[in-house]
Amino acid sequence: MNILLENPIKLFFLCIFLLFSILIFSVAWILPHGQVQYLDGTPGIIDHSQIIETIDAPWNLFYYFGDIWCHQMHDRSIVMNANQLPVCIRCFGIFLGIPIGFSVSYLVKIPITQTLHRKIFLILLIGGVPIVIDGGFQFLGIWESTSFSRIITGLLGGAAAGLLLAILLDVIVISLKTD
Amino acid sequence: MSCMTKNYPDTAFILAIAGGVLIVIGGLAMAFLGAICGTCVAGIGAATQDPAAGIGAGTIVMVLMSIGFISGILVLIGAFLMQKGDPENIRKGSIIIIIFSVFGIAGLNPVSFIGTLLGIIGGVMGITWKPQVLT
Repeated sequence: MNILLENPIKLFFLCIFLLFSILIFSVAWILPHGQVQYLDGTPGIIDHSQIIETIDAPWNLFYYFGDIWCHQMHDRSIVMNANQLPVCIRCFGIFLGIPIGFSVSYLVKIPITQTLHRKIFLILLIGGVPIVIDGGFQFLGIWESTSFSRIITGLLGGAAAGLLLAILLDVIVISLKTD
Repeated sequence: MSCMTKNYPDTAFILAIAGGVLIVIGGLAMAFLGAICGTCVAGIGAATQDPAAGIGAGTIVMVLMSIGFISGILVLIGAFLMQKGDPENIRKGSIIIIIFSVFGIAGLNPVSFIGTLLGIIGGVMGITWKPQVLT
C-alpha cells in the first residue's frame, strides 16, 4: 500500500490509463448492436463525425478520440457486439500496455542516477523498435503484419510508454521533494 | 593547476533546444494543416448540409496541434532557464522540459514525436546533472 501512495500523481495516472483502457474496450459492448462499423480513415482528422454524432455521450468521445488518433481500419480492428472498437488492434495494445508499464514501475525500482537517460533510451528502443519494424515493413510492402504481431508490438510499445511516463513522474516528484 | 566548474548541463541543453525546435515546427505545420483541412472539410460539409461538422473537426484538430506548438515554445523556455546555471533554475527548467515534451506529442506527427523524445532525454539529463570539476 505504501508503495502505491509513495507517488500519488503516478497512482492517479495509473488509474486514469487503466480506466481508459477498460472503457475503450467496453464501449463496443455498451453501444447498441451493430451501431458503429467501417470507420476506416486518416489519423489526425475527424472523418466520421456524422457516424459519431449518432452515438450517445460520453461514448462518442472515445470514437472522436479514435478518429483523430488512429486509422481505424475495419480489418485491423477488434469487432465486438458487431461494433468496431474506437481504435485499431495495435493502438488497443498500446492503451492496454500503458497501465501495464505503470504497474511494472512499482515492481522494478529504477534508481535515479546520472545514467538514467541511458535506461530511458533503452526502454524506448525496446518499446519502439518492434512497432517501427512491424509497421514500417508493412508500410513498405515487405510483409503484412498479423493481428498477433500488431497486438504484441502495441503492448510492448504501450508498456514502454507507461514505464517511461512512470519514471518521469518519479523523477519529477523526487526532484520536488528534495527541494 | 586551475580548476573550472562546468556550470550547466550543455548536452541536456542542446537536446532540449533540438527537441523544442522540432516540437514547434511539427506543431506549427500541423496546426496550419489542421486549419486548411478544417476549411476543406467545412466546404464538403456545406455541400452535404453539414458545415458545422467540418468546422468543428478542423477546430479540434487545430487546437490539438496548437497544444503541440505551445508546448514546444515552453520546452525552449525551459532549456534557456536551464542554461542560466544555478541549480534551482536547472531543476525548474528540466521539469518544464520534461512535462511539456510529453505534451508536445499532441502535435501528432513524426517531427513532434522525435522532438518529444529528445526533449525527454534532455530534461532527464538536466534533472540528474551534477556540476563537474574540469581540470
